Amino acid sequence: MPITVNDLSYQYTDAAHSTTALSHVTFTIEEGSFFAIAGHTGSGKTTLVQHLNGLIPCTEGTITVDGHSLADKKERSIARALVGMVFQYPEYQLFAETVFDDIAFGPKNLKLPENDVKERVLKSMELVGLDPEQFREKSPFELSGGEKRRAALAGVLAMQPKYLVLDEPMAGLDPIGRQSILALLERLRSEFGTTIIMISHSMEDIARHATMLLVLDHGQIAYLDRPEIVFEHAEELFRLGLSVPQATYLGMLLKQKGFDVPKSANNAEALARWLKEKIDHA
Amino acid sequence: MRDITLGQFIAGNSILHHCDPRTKIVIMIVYVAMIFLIKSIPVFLLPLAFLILSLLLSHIPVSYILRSLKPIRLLLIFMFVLNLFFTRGEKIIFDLGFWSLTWEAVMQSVFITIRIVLLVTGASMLTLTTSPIALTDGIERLLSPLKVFRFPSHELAMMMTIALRFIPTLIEESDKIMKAQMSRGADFESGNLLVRVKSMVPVLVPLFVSSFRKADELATAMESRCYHGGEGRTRLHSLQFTRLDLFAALLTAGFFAATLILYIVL
Amino acid sequence: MVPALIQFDHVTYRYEDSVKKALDDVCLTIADGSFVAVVGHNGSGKSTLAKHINGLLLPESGEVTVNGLSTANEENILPIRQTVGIVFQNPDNQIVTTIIEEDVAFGPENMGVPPQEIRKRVDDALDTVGMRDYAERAVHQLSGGQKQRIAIAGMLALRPNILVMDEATAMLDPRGRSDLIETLKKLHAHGLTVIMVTQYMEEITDCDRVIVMHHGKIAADDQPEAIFSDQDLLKECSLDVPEAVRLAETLRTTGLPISDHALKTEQIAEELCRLL
Repeated sequence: MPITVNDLSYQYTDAAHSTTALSHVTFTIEEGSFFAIAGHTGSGKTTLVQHLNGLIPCTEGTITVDGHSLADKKERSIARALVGMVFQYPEYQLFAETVFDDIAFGPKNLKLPENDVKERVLKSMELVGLDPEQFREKSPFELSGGEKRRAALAGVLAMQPKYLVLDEPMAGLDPIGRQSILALLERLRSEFGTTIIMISHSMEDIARHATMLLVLDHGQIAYLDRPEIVFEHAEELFRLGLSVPQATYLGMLLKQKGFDVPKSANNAEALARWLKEKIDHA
Repeated sequence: MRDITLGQFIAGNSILHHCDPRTKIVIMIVYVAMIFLIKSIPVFLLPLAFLILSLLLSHIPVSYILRSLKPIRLLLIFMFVLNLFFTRGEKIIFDLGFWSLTWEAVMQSVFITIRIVLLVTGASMLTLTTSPIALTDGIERLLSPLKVFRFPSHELAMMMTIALRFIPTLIEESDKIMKAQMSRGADFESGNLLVRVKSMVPVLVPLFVSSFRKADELATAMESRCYHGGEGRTRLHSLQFTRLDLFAALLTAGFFAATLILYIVL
Repeated sequence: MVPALIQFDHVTYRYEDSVKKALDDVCLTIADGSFVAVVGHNGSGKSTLAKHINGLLLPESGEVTVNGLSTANEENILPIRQTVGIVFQNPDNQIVTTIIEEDVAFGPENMGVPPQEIRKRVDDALDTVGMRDYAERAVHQLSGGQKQRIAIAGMLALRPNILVMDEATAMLDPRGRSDLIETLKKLHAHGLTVIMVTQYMEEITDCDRVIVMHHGKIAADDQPEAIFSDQDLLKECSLDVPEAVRLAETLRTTGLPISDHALKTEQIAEELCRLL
């Protein structure tokens, strides 16, 4: 069963005035998909994903997770257990004395027996690539930046969420760190069928991994489709303060110069083949 | 937590905004003295009138001032009830044997509540109309005579500036950490007091760690911008008394004199 | 000969309680008016290098001089910090006061500049970074990219000759990042020496020189196109290439003659137009 969001609106009220963060947002996240969310700063991305596990109470509109409505308090706690949430810079939330205890925080809150907790912690450490022997007794504050990030991720994975929401999980990491996170997400999807919901600014990553792309603009859905279809609107995306993969961008530039680039040439390889053919003919 | 207006500043162009911060701080002290001098409820009309007058002059929306009371509503209720229970008196309204409600207790409760409300709204007026820098500058200058006794007035003012600057950041951060731990099943709302305090550990530890990191990075940034203590510093906005300050001082003196007279007469 | 502005002479540095050298016998000369990028993976020593330029860190051995002044001499520190502005990674942790113009004034205030002159410097600095309209706003109402521009303005108000960006774009979104790079290009065009420490390869294509740090040593020091075409170096130092360079590589393997000088998609498009 999917996550459904129906006619969701939300307003922030701060001291001075209220601002619309989301307005009439409706969409469905299918089970097993890799659902990417993009939008410039202030477009409502973070507000939207914080609704998905009820961190922000749903005031206008409805959200259901596997049929459980987030409006109901009891159903909400079931839904929250299904939806794991990885915040931006999650390493800033580490708190326990050892890596083991930090990752065990979630499963312990689920009131699982000790053996199950241990099993889940070790399994999560293995998943994120932190060797239990080496890391379990270490203080999380002694780890390197990339290791901290993975420890924090393990803390969410230990909840064994069916849906994993990540808010810019690769921000600030070096190339190796970025690749290892993306590889982990693909592994979670293929091995456990976890649904991935990821906010990202990297259109290259979205093009390579996502099955669906939701583009938000001023709290409204600008585009919702397969990434390659959304990227056909390159010029509009630039206007929204976003970018497109470089291959798409090259296609757009060539089109502007009067070449009729076919729609099928929407990735680097296809574009290169088309260009080669065209030059060989000429 | 977004309701905290104390310590927030709204930029504006009103008479109150243009007053020298030193004047406003001294007026605030006099206003507090006024509130504590008052012994009978009708006299509270004087500081209330004073507050309303400054509110009108400041162009600050009334809702702002009222919102400053929201975070302390529990304190208000607590103080009210506490005084109902623990003030002894003669004029009994009704008697339950082990405890009796007295007229004095009711009066005392109302009294305390009015005092706190006037205090908090007055303090909010000061911070809403005075930029944090102006406020700390004012305090620094007012305390500067104490430098003779090696009182660190500049350091104190700098600390306050930084504290005010980081209040919104820390509120935002604690909100985020709480949400993150809630996503991992943390429960901050149920259980007895001890359980609840314990449940805050996963929030407080990261908050402390991040505050230390912030302090460290900020110190580096300040050093890089040639900060080397208060000696030889100049200011973008140098403080200057104007006719406006004289007028404000006279007005305040008038209100204070009236309160003093009523204090002696009644 | 362009005069040397910054000179590192056999500089070695170790952090407290660490055996590993964060900087290992680094020799480096940076000329006035250059736009230099310093890249390297986490822990390569690139930030340590940056913090030596304004004397936040002092060499264990060797010497750093700025305009001929050694950072080892305590009397030189204030003049050096006036010459070298530095902007750090976290936008939130380098702004001192709540109101923007007051923060920009912080540096000149520390140097005892007269109030009218501070006013002028603050206005100029805010104009340069395009934030004049925000002068009286509170800091926490700004986005990360705007905060970094305020941090730059705070440095400009000290009238420096050198601006060091110590991973200052790392926490920004793409829009904030590209706006910041545009600001830097403008400042460089006005004669400021810019040193950009970063791990985002997209940002360094406009630099005239790239210094690659690896294990505290300078692994390479060359123009961007030379760095991006050196596959062994990139692999050894675990560096990425810009997506545009990767795209050019794909086109090349298909048999299209794209040159090494095409570091941006716009340049690839131009080369293709000539071919088609």
